[in-house]
Amino acid sequence: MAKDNAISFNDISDEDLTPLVDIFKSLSLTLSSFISSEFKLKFQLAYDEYNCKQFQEISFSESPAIYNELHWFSKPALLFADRSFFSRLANRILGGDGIEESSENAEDWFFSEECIASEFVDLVMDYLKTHQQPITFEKSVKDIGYLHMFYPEDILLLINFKIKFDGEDSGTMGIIINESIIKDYLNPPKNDDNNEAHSILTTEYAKTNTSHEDPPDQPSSDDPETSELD
Amino acid sequence: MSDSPSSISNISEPVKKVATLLLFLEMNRPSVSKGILKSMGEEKSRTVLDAMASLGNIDEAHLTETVLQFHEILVKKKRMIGGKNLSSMLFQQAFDTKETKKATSSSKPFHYLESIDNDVILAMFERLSMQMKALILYYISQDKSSQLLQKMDTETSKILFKKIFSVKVVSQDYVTKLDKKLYEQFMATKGEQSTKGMVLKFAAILEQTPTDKRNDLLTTIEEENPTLLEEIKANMLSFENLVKLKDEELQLILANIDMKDLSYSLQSADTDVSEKIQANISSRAKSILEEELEAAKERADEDSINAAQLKILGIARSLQSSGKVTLKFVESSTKATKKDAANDDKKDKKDKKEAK
Repeated sequence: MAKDNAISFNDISDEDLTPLVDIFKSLSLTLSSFISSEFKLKFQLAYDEYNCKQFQEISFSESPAIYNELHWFSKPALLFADRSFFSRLANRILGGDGIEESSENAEDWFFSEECIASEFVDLVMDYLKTHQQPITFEKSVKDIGYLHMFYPEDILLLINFKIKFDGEDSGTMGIIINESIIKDYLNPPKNDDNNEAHSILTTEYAKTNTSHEDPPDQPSSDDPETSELD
Repeated sequence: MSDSPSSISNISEPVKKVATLLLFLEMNRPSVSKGILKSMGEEKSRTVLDAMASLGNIDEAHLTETVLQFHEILVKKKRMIGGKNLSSMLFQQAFDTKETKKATSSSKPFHYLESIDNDVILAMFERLSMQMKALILYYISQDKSSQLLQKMDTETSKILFKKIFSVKVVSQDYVTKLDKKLYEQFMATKGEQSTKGMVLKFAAILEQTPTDKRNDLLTTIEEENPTLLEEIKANMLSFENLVKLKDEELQLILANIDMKDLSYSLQSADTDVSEKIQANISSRAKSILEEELEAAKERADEDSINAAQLKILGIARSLQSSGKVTLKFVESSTKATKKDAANDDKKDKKDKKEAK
């Protein structure tokens, strides 16, 4: 796992991050399994690596993406993913072969892509809520410049995921959190208020949610990077 | 998939109850069920009517029990009924929850588009991917699909044809969810309007604005945005534009207009407008119009002419709202119009000869 050598958290070691990395590995397997079986396609969301970086050092992809502001333990967290992934998934759900469609203006997303992007965030949040994580959705934008969640010098943890359709790279997904979220995750505050789920599509997902998961405080024995999903 | 009348054993108990109640109401107050069926919509009415046809003799005890059950619902849930229409009452209260869900889910996705104007759907299509358009066309009726495809350019139609044939629905649940979201996004009255929708709205507003004020507004729009002005003008129905309508539509509009109004409106009209209008009214109406035109010559002034023209445009728009006309312009050759008018004159002369 690559980690930026120059920057690190003051009070958190690599070992401390293991349970957090495990929940993201488990998240990626569960989502891969759900999406693959639900839509009958070879889909893989694979945990890739984590980096410790200043916000100003994080280079976001040039390709269109959606940026979702979340609150985890009442602190800002960012979940982002490439449009190409939603485009392919939407196409498949709408009865196509899972091909990417492009609009004349990259800023103008198709209605179906927006719906699927919103559903996807719900899936991620539902997974975390199932694991007793107090997480809420704030808003989503298509230009990172519209979000003001972190100061440029803030030291953040960037968790990267790779997305594959039929074995082809189809974009990336990332989660950015700060040190205080990690601390709260490792030692949850007693007074956490769990929020109500607001997903409209997680009924079926909830049933399969436990199929690939490991308890968040126990390291997973699976290696998600080598796991092939049908 | 057959629509043949159901045998009584195939009809669910709640539907039988609704059918029994309607029979009871019809026996006691003839024609009252007509309004109820209308509120329920065609599809649901058909189910209930099938059930009514299969009921046969109903014994008094059963009839009393059914009527009392509905009465009980009415008394218990008075407040709810007060806020809902009759079809909701019948299907949400008379039918149990399971039945209601069944009735809802049996509707085809995107079925609400059947009654939406094609231009509104095409404006909505601007925000949809090709695959989503194909999926919608896959679900909606053949007639509606055909109308929409005809309005698209050939290249788009070709792509959509291909896609419609290869649609493979992998999750009906998700299609239903997207359908619901689409309805909420585009069909509900809230939210922002499409540019096309705004253009149509402004075009209709400007039509009903007095000429001098309208010209001022158009000049302002031209200064700000000449392209927008062109779009608005292209969608504005002016009295002169009536000649661009299909003959059938113009005839329907003219049939709803008072001859006096028509005679005033034609006082300042161009010759081709006047000819087109006269070519689309009956010979009897034409003779009345000729008399009115003579009388109007003396009395008409600019205000009364404008008022008459606006009244006619208002009638045209209200016929459009009720779905009787589309008000779509067609390219018509002046020659063809003149030829038709000449034919009509010949026909009139022939009619007169025959009458003599």
